[in-house]
Amino acid sequence: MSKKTPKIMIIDDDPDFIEAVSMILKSATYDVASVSSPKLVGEALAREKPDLILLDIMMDSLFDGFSLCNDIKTSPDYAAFHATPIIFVSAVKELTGSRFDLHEEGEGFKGPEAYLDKPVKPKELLKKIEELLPK
Amino acid sequence: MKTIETGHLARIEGHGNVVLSIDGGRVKEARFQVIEGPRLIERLTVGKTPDETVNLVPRICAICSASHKLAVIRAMENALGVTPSKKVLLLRELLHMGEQVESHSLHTYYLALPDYLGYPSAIALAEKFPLEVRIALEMKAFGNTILKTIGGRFIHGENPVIGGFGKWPTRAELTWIRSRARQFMPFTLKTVDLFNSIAYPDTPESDTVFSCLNPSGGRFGLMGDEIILSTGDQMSVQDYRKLTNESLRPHSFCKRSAYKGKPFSVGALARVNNLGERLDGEAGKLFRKYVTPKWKRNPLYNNAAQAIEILWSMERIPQLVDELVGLPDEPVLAVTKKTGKAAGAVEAPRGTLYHWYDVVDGHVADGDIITPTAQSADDIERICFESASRLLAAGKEGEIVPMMNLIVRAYDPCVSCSVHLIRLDGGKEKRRNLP
Repeated sequence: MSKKTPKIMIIDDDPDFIEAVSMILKSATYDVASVSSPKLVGEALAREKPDLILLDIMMDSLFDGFSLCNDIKTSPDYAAFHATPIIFVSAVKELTGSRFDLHEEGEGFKGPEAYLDKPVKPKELLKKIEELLPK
Repeated sequence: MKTIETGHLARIEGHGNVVLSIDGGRVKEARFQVIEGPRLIERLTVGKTPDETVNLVPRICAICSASHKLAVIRAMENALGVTPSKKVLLLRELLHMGEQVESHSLHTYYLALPDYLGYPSAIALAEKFPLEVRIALEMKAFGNTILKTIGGRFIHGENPVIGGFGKWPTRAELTWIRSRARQFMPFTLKTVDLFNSIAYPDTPESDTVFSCLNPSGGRFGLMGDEIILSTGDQMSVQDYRKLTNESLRPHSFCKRSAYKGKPFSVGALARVNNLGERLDGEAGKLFRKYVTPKWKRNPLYNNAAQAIEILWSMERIPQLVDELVGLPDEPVLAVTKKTGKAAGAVEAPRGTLYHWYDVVDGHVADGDIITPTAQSADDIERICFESASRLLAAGKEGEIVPMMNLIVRAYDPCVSCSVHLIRLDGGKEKRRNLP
């Protein structure tokens, strides 16, 4: 019996990013689902049941990614996804010159498993996914 | 003789304008007119209980109502012998940080930035500077959220009381505030870089005396029992009238202050100039990176100083939460003393705010409020006069009105707080019991 192909969900309000990263992931034989608004995430998670999430931070709010990540990791509404790895992908460094510092986060915010800067380098992205989602 | 008038000064809190009298090709007089109606707040305190007064006086203004709340509480506690606990002081400081973030982001991004980028308003900035407008909106909202969480409401929160707090925030509320302050850091650092990369025009760049509170322990901060001036002079807050020496002007509902006969300035630039060497963390690093001798001579750098203070606040918030979550909630302290008089002061976003009350048999007999704008008003007038004189002498009359707007706005004046009912009896006030 063949192993199920892992599914990666991209949550990002930038359609160009979704398109480009979808191609990278599909070429690496992952299934891909995407959501373009944080408001649609709950429904999409229940429908797609992803094995890993690529999560943009700055969407409707500058901090949507933080709120969503914390919800997915801690809310009873997302109990089935508490252990699902999340990778933050953010353009904040490109826009402001500095990154979000996740090292000091603790109580009050459950963070992601990894954090990558946009523009994402395909090799770096796939390596990080393989670390978190061994095939 | 002719006059040059700015008309209504846009993008300041309240209503004011600048009028210049020109004679023989020279500026004879500059008048910073504060023409908003008096609010009579001090008189309204007479006969009220201390608790009623704590509820009443912050209504003087919605922008810095938390500072007024903290100042009246400090004055009443000093007058009635109440010593608040460490937890109460930490939570008041956190409330203060919320107001600082809310007010400074409002002034820097919404009120001042359009001047320097050549736009009529912050709304007009949105198309070309969407990130800056998003930072402005969310930074202000974060400050408001702190005010609501700690104070009970976005504006005029009634949770802080004499001797404590009516309700303590939950651990989850506090840790959320801590996380969000940290998450803000890239945007806060960008704010500092933005307001320190602006090419602020030269004003006359003459010496100014700066005054602010001197927090204990050699710290940078917004509360203290002593006043410190850039001249090196220091005095107790209880002697604040030796600093302010208020007098009246026929063209202004805002009383004027002068120290040793000279105008002085308060606000973020005063704090950062007087206490900046005490800043640590990223705020300290960036203060040392950006500060120049111009900061002591050009009020337009108040915008740069406010950005440094936003960063300092965002770094201070997690420190405060770290301390707060380890301390147990406490009941409000009982007030047993019925009579006493004292001053209390805090640093409002736009400068030192003094409250003084005389309480007799459990009711206020007299009150005195001296706001930041009332202290800086004469210096605003002085800088306007010198700047207009220079522009006129250089044949640049057309640049005078825009420059007057820029100068007044840089001070972030709160005209609404500063107005008093004044009575011109030979220039002297008739009050009974002031210190």
